[in-house]
Amino acid sequence: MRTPVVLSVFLLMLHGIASSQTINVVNMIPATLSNESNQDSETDVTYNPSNPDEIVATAFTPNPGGGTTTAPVYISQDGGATWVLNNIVPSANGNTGDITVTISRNGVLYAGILRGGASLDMRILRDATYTAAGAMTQLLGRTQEDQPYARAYSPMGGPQRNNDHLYVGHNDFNNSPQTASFEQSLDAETAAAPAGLATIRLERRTPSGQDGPPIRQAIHPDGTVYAVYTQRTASAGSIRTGNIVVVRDDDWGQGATPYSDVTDPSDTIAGRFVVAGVNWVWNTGAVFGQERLGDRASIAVDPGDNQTVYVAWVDRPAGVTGNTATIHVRRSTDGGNNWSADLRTINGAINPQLAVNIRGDVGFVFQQLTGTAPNQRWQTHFQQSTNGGTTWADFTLANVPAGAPAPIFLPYIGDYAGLIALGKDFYGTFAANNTPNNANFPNGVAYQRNANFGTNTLTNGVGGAVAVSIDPFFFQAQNLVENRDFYVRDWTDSATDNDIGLEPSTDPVFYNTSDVWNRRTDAPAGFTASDRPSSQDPQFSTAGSNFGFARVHRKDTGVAETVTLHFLKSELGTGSNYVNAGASPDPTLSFAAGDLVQTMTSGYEWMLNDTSSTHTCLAVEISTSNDPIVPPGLLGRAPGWPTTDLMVIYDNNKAQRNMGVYSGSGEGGSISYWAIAHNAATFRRDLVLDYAPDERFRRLFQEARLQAVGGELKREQNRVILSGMAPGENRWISLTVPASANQQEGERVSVDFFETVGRQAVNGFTLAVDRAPIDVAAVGGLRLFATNLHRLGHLTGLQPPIDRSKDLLPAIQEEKIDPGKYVDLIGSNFPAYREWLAELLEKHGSDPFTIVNRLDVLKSALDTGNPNRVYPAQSDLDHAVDAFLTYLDKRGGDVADVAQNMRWQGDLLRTIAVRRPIAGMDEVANLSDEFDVGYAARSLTVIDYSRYVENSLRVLRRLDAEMQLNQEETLNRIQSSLGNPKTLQAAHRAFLLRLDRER
Amino acid sequence: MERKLTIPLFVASLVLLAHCATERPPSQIPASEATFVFRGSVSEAQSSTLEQLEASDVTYAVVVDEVVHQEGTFDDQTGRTVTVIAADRKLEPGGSFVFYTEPFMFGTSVAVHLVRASSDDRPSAVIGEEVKRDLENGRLRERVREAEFIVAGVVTHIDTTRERVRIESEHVPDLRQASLKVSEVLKGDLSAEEVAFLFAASIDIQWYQSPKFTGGEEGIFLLNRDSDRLKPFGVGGQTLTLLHPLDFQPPDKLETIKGLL
Repeated sequence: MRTPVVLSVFLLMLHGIASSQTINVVNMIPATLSNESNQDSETDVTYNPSNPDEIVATAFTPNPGGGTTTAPVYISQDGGATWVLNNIVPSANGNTGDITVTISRNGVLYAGILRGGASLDMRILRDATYTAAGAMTQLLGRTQEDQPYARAYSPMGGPQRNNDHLYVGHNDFNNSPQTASFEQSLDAETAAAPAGLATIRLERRTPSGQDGPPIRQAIHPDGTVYAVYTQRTASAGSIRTGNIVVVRDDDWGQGATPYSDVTDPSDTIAGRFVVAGVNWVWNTGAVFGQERLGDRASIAVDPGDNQTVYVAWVDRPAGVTGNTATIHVRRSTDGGNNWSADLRTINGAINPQLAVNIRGDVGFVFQQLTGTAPNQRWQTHFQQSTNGGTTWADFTLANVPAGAPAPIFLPYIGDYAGLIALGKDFYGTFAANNTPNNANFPNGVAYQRNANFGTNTLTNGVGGAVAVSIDPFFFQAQNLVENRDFYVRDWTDSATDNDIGLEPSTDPVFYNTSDVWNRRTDAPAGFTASDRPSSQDPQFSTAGSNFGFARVHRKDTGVAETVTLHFLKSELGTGSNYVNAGASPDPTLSFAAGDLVQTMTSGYEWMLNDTSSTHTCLAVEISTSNDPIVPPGLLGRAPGWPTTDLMVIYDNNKAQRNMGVYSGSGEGGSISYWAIAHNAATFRRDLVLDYAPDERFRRLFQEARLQAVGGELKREQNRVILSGMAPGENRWISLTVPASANQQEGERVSVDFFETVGRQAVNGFTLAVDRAPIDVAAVGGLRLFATNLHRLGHLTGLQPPIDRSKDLLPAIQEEKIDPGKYVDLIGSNFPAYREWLAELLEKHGSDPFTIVNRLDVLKSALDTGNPNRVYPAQSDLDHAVDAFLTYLDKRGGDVADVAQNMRWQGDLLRTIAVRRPIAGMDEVANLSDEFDVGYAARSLTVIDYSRYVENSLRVLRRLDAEMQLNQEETLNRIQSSLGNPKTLQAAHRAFLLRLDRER
Repeated sequence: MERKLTIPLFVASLVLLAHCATERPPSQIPASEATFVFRGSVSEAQSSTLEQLEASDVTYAVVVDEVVHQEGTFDDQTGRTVTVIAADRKLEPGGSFVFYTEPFMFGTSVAVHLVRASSDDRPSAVIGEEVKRDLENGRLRERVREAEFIVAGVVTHIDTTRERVRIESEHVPDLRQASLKVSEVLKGDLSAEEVAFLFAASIDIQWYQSPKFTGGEEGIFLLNRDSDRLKPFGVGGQTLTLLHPLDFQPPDKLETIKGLL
């Protein structure tokens, strides 16, 4: 995936520091374990992506009941406020020797453990009912293994949609010296053991003896999987020398040579050295604040950009002596190929953990040993950067004595801590001295166990004194408190089963049942029995205004706030860039302190352009001063582009409805429904569309077919591929279904389409057919016909079609029409319509949508006088005409694509500058970024586009001459189009296309 | 000229969403793992004392009248109400029993699996001693069964030379060799008066409970030619080891162990 690096950085810089942040720290030992004084060290944490209140954490806590066959995990079902221990981990001694956990979006808990009391005996476990009693199921067991580190992800798109992908990093001594490995399954949820788990070797070189214990992974939703490990190259005494290695796979780790997508330039072998030849201390004694020292590593990828990845490790810098460690944090913005200098350097610290939230903010946890013996202290810090690591906010979670209690075993506090990102927030865990002293917890702390903060003492259930020990602590770094977290539902199945503002939301079909909708009158209409809004296709301008509506929820009550709503629209289909729906001021919704939900009672009025189709997608972005949208906005963009940002799914302030609902009626023939596929990227690519018909559709329309206009179409299982699409290119996909299927009246059947990039569904649309009686369906048919007349007139400059369109207004305002009258209206207009279309086709020189043939079919149907024959033929024709008119309209330029043009221009200039630098190229590339960012932020408008292109022209002309493009005519067209954004966009694109071919 | 291609939509079956299979093997708790034994009264059926544990047909609220035996680290539950999961038997509210249970969930209250419940009029102290003995002997019996050699003797010497570690993990056992003067052979064909065995000096989480020796320790030694566990650390199959926390017992356990042979 290519990414405009400079743009990414710029966007991060624009993103300001979080306005407010709440830190909650909780001692996880529950009340009934007040008597315990175990050393509950080495924590990990995970949460249920479908129910974030459900959190599972781990520590070296023995079975509190004294049993030896199971060990516990910590479970919270209230977002971390309270915890229970549940003995579900199989064990040989009531404990574990290592344990990490992960929950998939399907709600399945996976654990990688070293079996307690059994040395290097790795077990990989699974449990779909982990909150209940009973032991986890073993999927795999193998000895001579170390530090299993489990992470799962369930893809929302692609052929493996909803499968549980499980990646367990482990140090496999069965394969020494190349020990850094993954145990990996791409479908681990239900299959019998080993549930597809297979070993993948990450290490391709020959380390000295072995790799280090930590093998950590970072999974991006698009299938990019990173891992980091420490590669040993030499060993002397307690000093290990080696390299910090990052590997990457761009397709979930599958394929013949997995994890070989980034190599080191020194030897072209898979695995890039973040840093080479560093030293670190390996000492298994209690030498550092009563803790041991060894390899540490962590890695995290930005969910909005698969190329931005952060790595942390520890070493002992040159010139430093003794048992100590220094943490380093670095970043790559090009998929691990190149790495920054240190973003953070923390001396005397261990246990770095990194995570990146939905906003692209980096979270960083570490534990630092401060002071001098015997008064040393362990400080646990959480730091967050909202600008890519340039500046960091610091929160001290715990500042506790390092000299007490004495260690019972090692690790004293752990070889790692826990950190995960959850939406805008971060959750983490760490182990620390549990003295109940407020001074030890500068950001506050809540204990469940009996604790007296006045006397700084712990007591058991009957008031007896309990010794200080090491406890696990959970923390939540909340960037937005719940009563200020507003959202628009991305999906609704029912009043009780719907999007609750999760980030990311959990249904990849985010464009079908969302809480943004259109009406043709200024009233929101009611919600269906499934608690869904009732959306209508927009109407063309002469027919009247359209009204955008939204229902806004928030996660909790408590404060009065005003929410601003911004409406946008794009073409029905995938990849089309958004434009503002209208020019009117953004509406607002006022929430009283007790309000959880508000629905607009008056809509946002907007009108279609005279040449625009009524087949549109509507979106809304909501914001408050505390809860702005996650930049960039949708304006000038499409979800998934230019980076892998899912935008709508990730940001609960954004929602879109991208669904064409059409009336099926009549008998005989077939109807084709059309949608646009637009390449929103700045490079040529194959546009992949996965499709999923619902069960009824599949049964009813066995003969349904997909067609494409504009280029080659390839077919794979449940997938079509539009090959070699140029940036900004449009093609048309049609779904053809028979008109006489046995569909029940009132029944809706649909097909979901997913635009899939890599293995990630970034965008999509739905085509749905409602079976309607002929007198109702005919009104819809007439509306489409009238719209086409209106558009045809405005596109060609002919007044008669516009007049005829107006004549049809009374009929299309009704809910029903007499079928005979419908046939008469179509029939009486047919000859002229045919003539105008024939002229248009002749002028165009081709008939890509086979309109002539469709006209003939309609003529035959009209000859029968049977409305049930006329409707399918007329509907089929006018859907094709609608697509053709859009096709023609967009050939003249598209203001929706001005920002895409500028992004493309910036990328091209940077690429060409490497081989063929020309004075001014960098400036124009930066200018391109400036427009893109400013346009998305709505500080620049389409009017400014001319100015930015004009300022680029000098360099474009130089390029034309230097590269002998012979595009003087195009450049002159650009010059003459300045001031007309639509035609300018077309001319500008034509030049960029030529430039792209020559780069 | 634009090209137009047509393909059938249904070229393959739909990808069906698989979701959330339940996989819960029936609980198989050995009686020796009934670590929490108490006299109690059933106060309510279909009830749970933990928010996190849903009440069902097999959950009962039971008041702990008296703790007979308790292991682990949870608080004294005397006078408190706990949740008992009784999958195999119905309990009537008001019924009083001695509950043999295995605790599994700990929060503001405790939830336990019922191993068995019985009416028992014997003094609680007697029952408690019996439970304690059964638990200890049950665990020890397993070790006795697994041990290749069991001897009485005294540790005479520790070789502090550290093992040559083939791998590097936080969990290396830091093996040391102990010389043991044998006074009595209880199990196995062992004729030598002095034997050597390896023990784990490491205080890593996986080894800190393994018996540690400094010399002079006298007692019962359960020895094995362990083992898969030590293979990664370069220990051959014929080397004697003593690693399990129960594999070294004080001299006063001699008769107990003989009784378990």
